[in-house]
Amino acid sequence: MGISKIGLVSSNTGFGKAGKEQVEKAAPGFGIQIVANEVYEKEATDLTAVVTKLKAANVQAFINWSIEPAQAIVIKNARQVGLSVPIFQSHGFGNIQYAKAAGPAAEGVIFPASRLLVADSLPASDKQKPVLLKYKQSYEARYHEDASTFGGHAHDALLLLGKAVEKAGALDKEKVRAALESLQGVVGTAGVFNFSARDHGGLGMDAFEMQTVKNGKFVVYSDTAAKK
Amino acid sequence: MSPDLLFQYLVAGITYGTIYAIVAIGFNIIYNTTGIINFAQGEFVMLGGMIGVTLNAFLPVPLAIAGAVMATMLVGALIEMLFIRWLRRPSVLRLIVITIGLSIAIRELALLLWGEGVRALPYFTGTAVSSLSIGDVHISPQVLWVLGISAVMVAALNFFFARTLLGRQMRACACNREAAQLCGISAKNMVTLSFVLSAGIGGLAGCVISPITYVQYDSGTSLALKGFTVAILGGLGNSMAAIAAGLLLGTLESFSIWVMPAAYKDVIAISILLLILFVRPSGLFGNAEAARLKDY
Repeated sequence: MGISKIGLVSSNTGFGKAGKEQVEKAAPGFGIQIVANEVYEKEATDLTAVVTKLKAANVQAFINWSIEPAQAIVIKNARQVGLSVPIFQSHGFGNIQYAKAAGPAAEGVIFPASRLLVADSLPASDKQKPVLLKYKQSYEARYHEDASTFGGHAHDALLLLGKAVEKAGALDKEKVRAALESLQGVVGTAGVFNFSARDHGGLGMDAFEMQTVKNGKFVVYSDTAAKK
Repeated sequence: MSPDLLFQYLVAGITYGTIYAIVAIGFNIIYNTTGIINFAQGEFVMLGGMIGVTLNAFLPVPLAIAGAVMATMLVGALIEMLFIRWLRRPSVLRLIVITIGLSIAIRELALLLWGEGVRALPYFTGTAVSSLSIGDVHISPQVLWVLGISAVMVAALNFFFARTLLGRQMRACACNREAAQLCGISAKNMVTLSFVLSAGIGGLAGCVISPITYVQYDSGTSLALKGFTVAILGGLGNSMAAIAAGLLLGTLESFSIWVMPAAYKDVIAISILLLILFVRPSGLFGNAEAARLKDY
């Protein structure tokens, strides 16, 4: 996208702080300069002053790292003060409620998240698609609200524990632990888990799909869509 | 700083300020009749917003707001009649502890009822992205709605307390409960009425600000803290002063972002609150009963 000067805003929580530190570390490697770096409180009611500062710094895009409702206020205020640069969010945006809350302001926001959010539009060849659709449909039938990635994490945790106990064949703490560490190719909602003694996260970069908001819905992000 | 930016920060300050002011007004009503601070006021604001959004699913916005205000008033009346009316010796401390307890209970009930999701009413005019622009200065039309409704509310309240019999009866109870009762005023009914009135004002505030701030089961707490600060800054009981104080605090917070991160803007509000409580408590608290409030 040819962006070199960005703004970074994050909430004053553990999630916001961790994201801020990583972005600060990673940015120079990509030749990106952070020209405005602001932290806002998670209970903020309006953030016009923060986005005004971004605007004054002439940012070419900004990253908004937060998991709280205030992240939607940032997007809204940015568009209100006429800051029309691309907005990047964290996976903390992966709940359609936030896109709904920001309304038309959320259109075009780009963020990485697990494929659960765009399960319907995935190609049939996708490995995760059946698992995702099953989770999404059963969740939505039971709770009458849109499934978000966060509930999916709990689903994955139980799934992995179940697989590990099955593999260990006994409810022995040490055996289950060893089994959990050796699980390979378990398809969950967050991605395909491959654990090893070194990797306890189990997910690779491919677990994330770049997504955007189009007509109030999460869709897979593609460069052509952005250039329109 | 270019003039455009200066004005944009001013607009941000006005936005914050009007939100604080409209919440602060609710504190003043109950204070005016009972001399206590109702710590559940923030929850009235949250309830108003939540009920408004819920009703808006099948009613147009004005009707949903009217419904939300009435429902919140009903909650205010119930709270007063169930928890406060029957107290034989309602001391300030006791009432404060009761309202704090109620605020926690209402918050948890709201979590059970509505879940943890964020909601908002639609913008009264335009959408989330529309703004009125003068040069490169932009202001959301909703801010003007909040400002306008606060102004109308203050005017109506001033008229009510100064010119109507009922309003004067409420003020009489605030000044001297026993003397008012000797004149045939039912002090208990006046207290109930003050809860109904401030719940209604809180509910209306919750509806009007929800497009800007969103509403969530626990959003009342932080709003109440700022509203309380502004009510004290302006002088408890004075709604007109609350608006001025709200705008002052909002503007201070907005410009503070030049010198410190936005996350610290609460520091300013709380420093001001402490400063006033330490330096000018007697000047700002009208009567002896309320002056004791500062001890807690």
